[in-house]
Amino acid sequence: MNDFLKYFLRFVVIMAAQLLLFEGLTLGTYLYPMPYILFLLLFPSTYPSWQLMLWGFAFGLGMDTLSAGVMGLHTASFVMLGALRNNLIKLIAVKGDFDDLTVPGFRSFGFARFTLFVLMSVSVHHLVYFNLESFSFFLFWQTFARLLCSLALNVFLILLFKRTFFEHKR
Amino acid sequence: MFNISPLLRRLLVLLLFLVLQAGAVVMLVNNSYFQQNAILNFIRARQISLWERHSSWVAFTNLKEINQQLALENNRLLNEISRQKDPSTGSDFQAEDTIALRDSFSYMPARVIKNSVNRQHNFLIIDKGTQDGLEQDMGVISSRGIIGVVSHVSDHYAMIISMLNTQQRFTAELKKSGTFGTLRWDGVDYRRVYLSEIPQHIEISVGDTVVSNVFSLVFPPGIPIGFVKSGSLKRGTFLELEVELFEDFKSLHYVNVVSHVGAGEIRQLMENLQEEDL
Repeated sequence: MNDFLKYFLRFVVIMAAQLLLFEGLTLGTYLYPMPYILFLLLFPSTYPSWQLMLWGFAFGLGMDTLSAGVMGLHTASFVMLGALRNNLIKLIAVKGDFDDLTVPGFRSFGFARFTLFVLMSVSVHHLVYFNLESFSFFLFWQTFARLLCSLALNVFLILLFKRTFFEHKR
Repeated sequence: MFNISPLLRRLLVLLLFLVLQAGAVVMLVNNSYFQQNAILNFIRARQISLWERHSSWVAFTNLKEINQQLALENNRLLNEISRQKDPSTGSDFQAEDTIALRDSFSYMPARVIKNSVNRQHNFLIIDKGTQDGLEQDMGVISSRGIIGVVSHVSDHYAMIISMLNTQQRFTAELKKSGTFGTLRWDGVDYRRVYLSEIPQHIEISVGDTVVSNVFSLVFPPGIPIGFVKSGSLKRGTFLELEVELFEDFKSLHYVNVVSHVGAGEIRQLMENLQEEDL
């Protein structure tokens, strides 16, 4: 299948799942399920970061307009993740670890390093998201707690969905 | 593709990043839900109908609870009527008081079609808009407390800034002593808000009722909001009281929009005053 079409299909499916399912879950102030972050983690390791940013911008914009929250929150955090994702991959990669087509995953990175990669990526996203949302350091510890709880939840969800839906059987 | 030097390439990527991020921040700063609505009227109309269907389903499954709430409110209103009846004649008390008329509040029931409690800035959407006479800055109450303020209105819908919004402040007072302070939400628990700037000498006991303030242009005075749970001294000067809300925002289905007949005139007066000061 055409790569762009494949990514676009993912775009639609993941956004639909986030908007129709996860936005409706009310798990309290401290837990905000955002497994849509997985979208940017599914691109091949050598995918150019400027294209990642554009995908992130488009996806974040869609999230912001359709979820009836504060505009720009998802966009800002997703663009940031798009910009930094490839550097994060370089951080955890070992020489000769991937060729051009490798997609970050359990099989290519191994469980520990892939988990670390997801953890770092979600941290980048959440740091921007929650700090912009509270827009002050007045409630620092509370924002911090929300960040940590959501981080744990989302890393778990992303690993779970990656394992369930996006690992190709060989 | 093109032969660009790696340095230039990096710079271009950085530039793109800055442009996209600036776009996001601009959206964040002049964020307005109904600006989005104007752009995405088509999508929004369908979305609202989806939310509406969802909320009517939720309302249907909660009919028992809603009935109970309505019965309680009916009861309260009946009591109010009997209180207002003139005791000497037994007939309905007819007020010929034009001042009271000018300063009166009118209510319009509305159904909540979208609501959230787990964000830092929570919003509600209700199914009444400009065609029903709604305007910006009108207050929204329920039978168990104040809910928020109308922030944007479209033809058939209105968006309300919920009391559960960390940027929003309300004035409220203690029923017993009449001392007023600022009511704000700290973003944690949707059942708990804080009443601050209460002077130290005021005697407070746990269970005191907090009601809406007389000076408020938005809400009718004396609407019970919650009760005091605990209090602590802030910066050695003022008391800050923890208030448990009567209203459960999570199971909110019907609200009343309050329009204050004199509010526009009073606001006008205050604006004139401010202009003169400058």
